[in-house]
Amino acid sequence: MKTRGQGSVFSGDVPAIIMIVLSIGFFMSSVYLALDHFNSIKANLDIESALVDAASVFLKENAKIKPSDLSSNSQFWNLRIARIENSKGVKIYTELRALDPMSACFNEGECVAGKPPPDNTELLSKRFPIALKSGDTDLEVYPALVKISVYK
Amino acid sequence: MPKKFMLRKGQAEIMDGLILMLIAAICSTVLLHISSTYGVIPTEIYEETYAQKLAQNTLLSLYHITYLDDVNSPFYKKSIMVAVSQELSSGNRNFGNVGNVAGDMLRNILQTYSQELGWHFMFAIISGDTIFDESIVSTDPSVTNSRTFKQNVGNPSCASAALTYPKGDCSTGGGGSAGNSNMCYAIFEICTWQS
Repeated sequence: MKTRGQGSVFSGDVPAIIMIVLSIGFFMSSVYLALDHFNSIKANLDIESALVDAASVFLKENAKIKPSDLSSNSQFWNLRIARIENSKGVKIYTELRALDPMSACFNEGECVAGKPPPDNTELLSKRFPIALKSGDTDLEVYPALVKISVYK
Repeated sequence: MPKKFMLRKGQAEIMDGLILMLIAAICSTVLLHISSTYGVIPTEIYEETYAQKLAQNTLLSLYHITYLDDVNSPFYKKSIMVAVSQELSSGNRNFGNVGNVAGDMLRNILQTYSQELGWHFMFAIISGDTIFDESIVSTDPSVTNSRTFKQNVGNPSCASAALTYPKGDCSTGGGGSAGNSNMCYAIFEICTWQS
């Protein structure tokens, strides 16, 4: 028989119940963390996949793109890029910049399409070389860079 | 049962609790490990795809970009690959030499891309596994020939394409004769790697 002072609240079923509650809590928080991680990675993968798709479009259109194609109401934009935006649930902002001052689109902000990403938005952005047709004939093709920014 | 092996009230439940905690810890660790590795491989694939697209885009750009610097040049408003083709036709593949017209055009464009993008680029004429050292135009000062390319560049992404040129000595381009036509062909390669 226990005398006064020897008994403990941590006797009997109490420790087991505490451990069961702790175990379930720990496991549930792990599930929550894992799901959270899955969702954020999935969002990143959507963005990366949209970026690769958009880059592929510009790869196919090398030397066919004219400065006027880079505007949000151009047919090129709506057919090719808006389709990626819709299928991946992302927004794409594109900047085209010629590397030769003789070409159109040499100045920053001159040839852009899409909605510029708001400040502090998490975005993924890559730049690709591209040949830009700029001039009266098809024989004036300049080196240029296309910068694609993808965000949710 | 001997007295010392007998569990007192509460000890069995504590054992159950400990076992449950252990199971929960193992399951949680496995779950967190799976979630942390999820997406790693696709991300690596996308990065590789980007490098690959960079090489392909550069190669395609070179085909399309026209020479517009000098109206008196025979290559004015012609693709810079026409200049490469002309050099090969005249038996010259020293594109790496400063002063080589086609080599200088290539160098200018690759240097501009390199400065803007922070990646290095290399143009070379290849034949099978052989890179012709004298044809190398590289933006990386540590890459001057095939040996230094293999030594100093870890994992480049490369894209290659064929280029035909009017028949001269077909061995210049390393590719041989293009069928029964009066043309030879060469394989050129654009490699890119991070600075």
